[in-house]
Amino acid sequence: MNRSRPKAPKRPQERPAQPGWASQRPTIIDVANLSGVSKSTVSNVIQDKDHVAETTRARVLEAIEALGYRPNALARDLVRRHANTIGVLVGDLANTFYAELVKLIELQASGAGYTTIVCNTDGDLALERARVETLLERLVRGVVLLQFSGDHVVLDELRAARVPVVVVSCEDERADCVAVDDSAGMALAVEHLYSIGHRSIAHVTGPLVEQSTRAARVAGFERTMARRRLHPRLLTPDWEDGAPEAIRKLRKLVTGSEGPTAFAAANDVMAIRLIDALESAGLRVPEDVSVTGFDGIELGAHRRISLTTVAQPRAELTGRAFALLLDRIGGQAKDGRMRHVQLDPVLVIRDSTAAPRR
Amino acid sequence: MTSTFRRPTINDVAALSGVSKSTVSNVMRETGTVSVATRARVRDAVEQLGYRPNATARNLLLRRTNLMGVVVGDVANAFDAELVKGIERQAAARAYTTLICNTGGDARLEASRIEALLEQRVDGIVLLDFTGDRVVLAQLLAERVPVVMVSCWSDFADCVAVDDVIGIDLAVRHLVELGHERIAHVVDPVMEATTRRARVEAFERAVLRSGLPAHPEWIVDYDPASAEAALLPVFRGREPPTGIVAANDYTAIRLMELLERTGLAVPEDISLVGFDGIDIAGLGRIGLTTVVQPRDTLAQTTLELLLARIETGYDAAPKQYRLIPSLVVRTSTAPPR
Repeated sequence: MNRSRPKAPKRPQERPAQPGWASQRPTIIDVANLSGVSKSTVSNVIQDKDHVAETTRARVLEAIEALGYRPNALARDLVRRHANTIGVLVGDLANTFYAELVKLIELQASGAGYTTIVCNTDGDLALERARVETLLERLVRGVVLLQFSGDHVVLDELRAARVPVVVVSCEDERADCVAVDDSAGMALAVEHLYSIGHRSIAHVTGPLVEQSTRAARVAGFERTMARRRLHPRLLTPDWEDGAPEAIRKLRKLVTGSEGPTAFAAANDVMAIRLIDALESAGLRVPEDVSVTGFDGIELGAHRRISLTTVAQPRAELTGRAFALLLDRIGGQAKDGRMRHVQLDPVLVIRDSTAAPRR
Repeated sequence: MTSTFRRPTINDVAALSGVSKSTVSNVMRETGTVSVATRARVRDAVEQLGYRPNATARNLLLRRTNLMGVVVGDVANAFDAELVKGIERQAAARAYTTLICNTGGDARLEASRIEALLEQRVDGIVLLDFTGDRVVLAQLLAERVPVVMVSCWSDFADCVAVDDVIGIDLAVRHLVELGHERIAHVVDPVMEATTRRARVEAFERAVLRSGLPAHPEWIVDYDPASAEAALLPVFRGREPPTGIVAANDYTAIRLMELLERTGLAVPEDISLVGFDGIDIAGLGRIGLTTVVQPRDTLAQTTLELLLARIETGYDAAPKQYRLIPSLVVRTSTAPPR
């Protein structure tokens, strides 16, 4: 830092007027002038160092109050080399499951004195890289990945910058993770469908499902189908914007002799959109075809939706994740050993599943 | 702090490449006269250490942070989430990073989150939610931090919102045209206060204009914790309302669930109109008739206003935009029995 500052700094009022407002906020110099102490004394008071006399401290605090001075977080960050911010990367904020997680993380972060930077990636790799770069430039204390493409470049960047990371609701062996056992969760859904008589079951998944989550849920699906000696069919939805051609194709698939009698979707939003597409194709759920979801969003419990699903414990997910992140930030956790917390998902049976007609 | 987490600094780069800090700085900023060989050495060191020139330092010089605060009432409400997503995307395209704070519509939380944003020295703040706390607004104005209120309103600030009077009028007129004469308004207490009040007033006026008798007891809050106890007496009384205008889609959809759980069918027993036009309102099973807000235009206008304020300051009078909503008729409304 530049220490060869002139002895008598210009008073802030004498600075040339600038557009924008940052320049007109009271500075530490104003506080020092008003309380009649040096800048470094003001700084000591702000940093709560103990070798300042009580009367001086009171005078400085009064001046701070009177001027509405706010210590500059930027300057402070620069000295500490980090900001009191946490970055949160989310794939799709419009998916209420993620919005709910973001809300919980923001609550915990602010409880611990951090402000949250939320970045939406739409599951796009280029966006993800760009947003992580932004977070690093912002000197965030830690990053919560609610969606992670699995891109090693992103993790390498974070690691090189020595920024603690926790991955929530998805998995990566190179980072601390908190997730439900996605594979076991998908097995719950498939076993439920099997137990009520379904033998032709398709798994529906797509790019908006976080990559490692997608892989784990696919693996759980395939393993359970193999255990039951059934053919695992995977589908990517093309019906979500309701194009007539895609809806016709969906109808043909389901009404064909080998067509699936049940769909196990990779998340609730996909399941709900699938039900919408099936019904606009003239099929009934669950009479003609059963559908299960994954996540346990609020809308799934709505009577008109009544979605059978595999629910994730949201509060526990975010609570454990934030605790892991704080450990890393505080330096309690050693860098090398990654900690993986796995929570149990719960099957919630509602009205979107029933015995098959054939 | 443990050494594990120490990030490389300009000093490390200078030490490794054997030049002064200011030479490193010149290389990073591509200024000054630095020989090609030195430049290459510095770049190697930067690469090797993973050094990142610091946005904070740069911003300290510029007195800009390129940070934008977004204060939201409830990200679990899809309208807020979809709007935040739109604002975040447009802000990123203009090199701004958004800090998102959720207040739950609580005035104390709102004040503390705004305080946190000010400490971060945000260049501007977008309020999607404002409890109507004058102290908070006065503080923002005193700090001279540019503020744009979106989907909420104050006479003192730049605002972008849909015209609530026109929107509510569309909803009430639709029900009246279907033959409804007993119409209730269900309020979301978590919803932003100025909008909430504006929609209540607009509802009262629209009912009067339609020549229907006023029923103040038919303007009720939807509080998830006590909804059944508070709402059922209204909708199960003698001569109950046959139509409902909900303050927003989120409330309408939860209300639909409550009514049907307790044996009232929508639209057979009671018609329901929402406000916002969130995606799930359009699902076949929900089929909510609603007043649709032009979400993308809201987000875009907000960003443009805020960036203009950040560039030019607060010299001009508040700029206020009212956008025109439209009614989308689906299956939640029908003539009364």
